[in-house]
Amino acid sequence: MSDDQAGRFRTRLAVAAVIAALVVVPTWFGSYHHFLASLALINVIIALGLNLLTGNAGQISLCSSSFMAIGAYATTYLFAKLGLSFWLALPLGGTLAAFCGFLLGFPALRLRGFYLAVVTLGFLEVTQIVIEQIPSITGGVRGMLAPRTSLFGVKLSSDLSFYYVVLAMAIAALWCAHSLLNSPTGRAFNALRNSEAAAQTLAVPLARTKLVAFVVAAFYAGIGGGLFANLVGFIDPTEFGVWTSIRHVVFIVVGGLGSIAGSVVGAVVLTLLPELLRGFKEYNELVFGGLLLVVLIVMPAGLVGLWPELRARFRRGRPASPRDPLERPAA
Amino acid sequence: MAYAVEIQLLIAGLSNGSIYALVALGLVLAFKGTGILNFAQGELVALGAYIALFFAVVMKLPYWQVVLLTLATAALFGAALERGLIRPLMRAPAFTIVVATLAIGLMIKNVLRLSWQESVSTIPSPFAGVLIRLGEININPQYLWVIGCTVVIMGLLVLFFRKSLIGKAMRAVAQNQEAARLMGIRVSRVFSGTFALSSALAALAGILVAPLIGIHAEMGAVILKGFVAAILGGFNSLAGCVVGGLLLGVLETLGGAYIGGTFKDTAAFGLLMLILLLRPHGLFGRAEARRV
Repeated sequence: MSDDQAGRFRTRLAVAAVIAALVVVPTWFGSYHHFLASLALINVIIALGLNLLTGNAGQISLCSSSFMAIGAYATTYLFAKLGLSFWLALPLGGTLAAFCGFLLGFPALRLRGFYLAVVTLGFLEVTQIVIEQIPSITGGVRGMLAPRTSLFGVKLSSDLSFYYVVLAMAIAALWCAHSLLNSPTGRAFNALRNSEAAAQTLAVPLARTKLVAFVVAAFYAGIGGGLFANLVGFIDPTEFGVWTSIRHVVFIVVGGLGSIAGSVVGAVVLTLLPELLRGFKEYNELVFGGLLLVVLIVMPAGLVGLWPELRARFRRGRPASPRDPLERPAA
Repeated sequence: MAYAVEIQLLIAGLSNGSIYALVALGLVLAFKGTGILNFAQGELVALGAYIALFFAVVMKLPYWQVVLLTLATAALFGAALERGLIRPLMRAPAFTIVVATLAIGLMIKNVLRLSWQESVSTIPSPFAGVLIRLGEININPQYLWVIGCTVVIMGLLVLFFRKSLIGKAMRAVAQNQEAARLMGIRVSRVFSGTFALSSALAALAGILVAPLIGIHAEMGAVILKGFVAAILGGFNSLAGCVVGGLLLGVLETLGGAYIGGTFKDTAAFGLLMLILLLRPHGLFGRAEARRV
């Protein structure tokens, strides 16, 4: 076996071990922990999509919670009110979210930086209003019940069984994101972020690449929303406000922009951390906001950026910290 | 009188528009002066309203003292904010600035919600219970007060930027920081001053709008209207902000009355999309060439 093959084998072994642990370890814990773990994995899915759009393609988005809402409401409506199978409703919900992402992507083609942030903020506001204005479908401000689904005729009423569903989805999402980043499209995302002009001279199709990034992020958030609704059992518009979007941004900034590991670490740590600090619940926004500021100013590469930095410091006695979180070479 | 309702709506619209204009003015002033688009501007409006609430309800001061003290406090807060949190981010890329100012806004909102949990949530209007009647037209004097204040502030700002040394220094810094520095202008002080002014404008909007919509932690949502007003006006001229704000206010109010409430809420976003797609440099602005 050559070195390369051995390395690949080790990686596969490690992945298999992690998955096995994720399957086995939860059986030792209780229902509340299964619920939390599912929530963390759903946030991982959403963060993966947002990180592709923002961290890799360099497009600011403050409306990931809107795509989540679209997925959540569409899935729940199709499943609970129209009686469609959940396993059909979920991808349809994700597709509807992706379509909305496609529509939002068009104005985004002409905008950059601040203007894009403003437009996505506006889109979030409009989604909220629309949800409130069509109570026949969404239940309006009073919200909507989302009954738990079943699989092969068995109702997934226990949080552990639903956790396995979410785990499977999260692994699929992770694998798709990984493959995408290693494809020409993924490399085009990174080229786009570093310099649109340079990317264009290298024949990267600017418009198509940006649209793909928006569609992928929206699809991920839509699927995450559909799963979220089914996990929590009840959705109302306040779940999907600007605060939720900012939390998604905090996930990827704190975890590490443009890095798949960053999305996973950020989403998991920042979903579980507030639960540990539950006594401080009313200070939640204060803590998240402060954390965001500190990370932006002190360690723009996020938590996963600490690892190579520590290693570099250990070897050469000097940190190699880039200033701009979005203008760092692709990892 | 034939157009009584229309005139009342127009005045209400102009009054709403004045608030939007004040928010937009604060945004554009800071953006032109320092290159920072402050996504916490909405929360600065809420902060101003809460400061006024403190002076009016806890300290029981008369209205004019409340206004002056609130503006002064807000200006100090703006300068401190610039010095402490904004300046380290001054040369950061757009993404960092957006996220950082959003984080600042979030923290302000959280603090406001925690610090005031009593039921009284508006400052007493000096015009409580007064109604102006002109024939069949009934006007809430608070509307006129809002419009009047905005017009006066606009005039003062024009004078400030034309005549005063500080105003001229701010304009110089906005045009070219290097050259301004070479002329002996302390650019960092001008930055603080700009944020102080911008924050005071936001607080004024907060004081003026409080008797109309009440004071609550979600007041910051008005920032979106401020953005739309500023973008309508081309995001670089103060007069543009005012025209954009008034236009948006009147359109929303008239549309809301004749078309429906949903229109009122979504008009701003629709207008934003149209402007950005058709005339991204605003109604009056010119397109700028971009250096690659």
